[in-house]
Amino acid sequence: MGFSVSASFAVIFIASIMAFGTLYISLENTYTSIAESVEAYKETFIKSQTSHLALQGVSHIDPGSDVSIYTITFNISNNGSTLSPKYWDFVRDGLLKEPNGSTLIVEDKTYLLPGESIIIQTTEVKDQTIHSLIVATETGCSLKIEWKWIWLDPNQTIGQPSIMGKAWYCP
Amino acid sequence: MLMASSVISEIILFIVSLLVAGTIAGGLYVVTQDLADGINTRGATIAQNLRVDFTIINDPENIPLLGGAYVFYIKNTGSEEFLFTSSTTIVFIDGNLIPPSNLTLTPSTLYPYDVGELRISTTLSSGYHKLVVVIESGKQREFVFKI
Repeated sequence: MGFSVSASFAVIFIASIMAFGTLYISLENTYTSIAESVEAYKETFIKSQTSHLALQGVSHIDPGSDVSIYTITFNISNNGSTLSPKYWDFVRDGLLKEPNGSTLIVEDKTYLLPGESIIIQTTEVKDQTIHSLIVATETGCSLKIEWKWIWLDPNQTIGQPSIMGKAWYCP
Repeated sequence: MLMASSVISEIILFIVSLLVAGTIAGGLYVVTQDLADGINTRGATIAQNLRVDFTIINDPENIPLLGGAYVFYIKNTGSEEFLFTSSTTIVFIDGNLIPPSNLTLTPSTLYPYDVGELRISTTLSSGYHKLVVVIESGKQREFVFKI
């Protein structure tokens, strides 16, 4: 009788230890996995909250009054944390546009450190439409610039682009 | 005679007690495995959900209308890829579910930093509208735009 009780207790005790071990390993793995993900989420969140692009300056090249297009250059400065322009996307007048080296030129930079600037150049027709460029960064935050060509004289020979609006926003 | 029957009783008691203990241990093993599998699966889902994220990067004032479909650009801003098909993505505009047959999504998988195209064949009146996109993990994003 005494041996039966001891043997049964031993079987249940060993099974309990094994069950506890299995549960412990499972909880440990899950905790590690979630902790890593939370850390990655925090980093992404902090990066998006601390990123900030601003339009520092605008210049343009007008080939002449007899040419109907002009080139506008945006100097965009990084007033926030380090960003990677290689992961940026551009929405030009509503349509996704890849930098192509002619109508949309983006300065080649792997990183944009805090305080650094990047040059983005685009070509546009001298019309009275409001044009827009959205720079969508890797954090999901975007810089939107709106501009319009305005004539400075009644004969429409001299003109320049004018910034109509700019906004930095995050989802 | 009495001695022999006592030994047999002890043996029967021993075997029965071992069987009972074995059954309890087996039950404990099954329940523990089930719990451990549940914890692992749930943990993996939570961990993946935290790594998956996306953003709608359209110009809210200028939504392209190509071939009768409004085009929205979805950027993967998370650290893990996700499926981007009409069967794994749910789209609402102004609270109305858009049938999967009215959706065209490319490419089928969005890797980190990639931009996918979501085409919605529908008619919208001029004014403000709200788009809600829900992906397979349950993560959703809202986007208010103007037509």
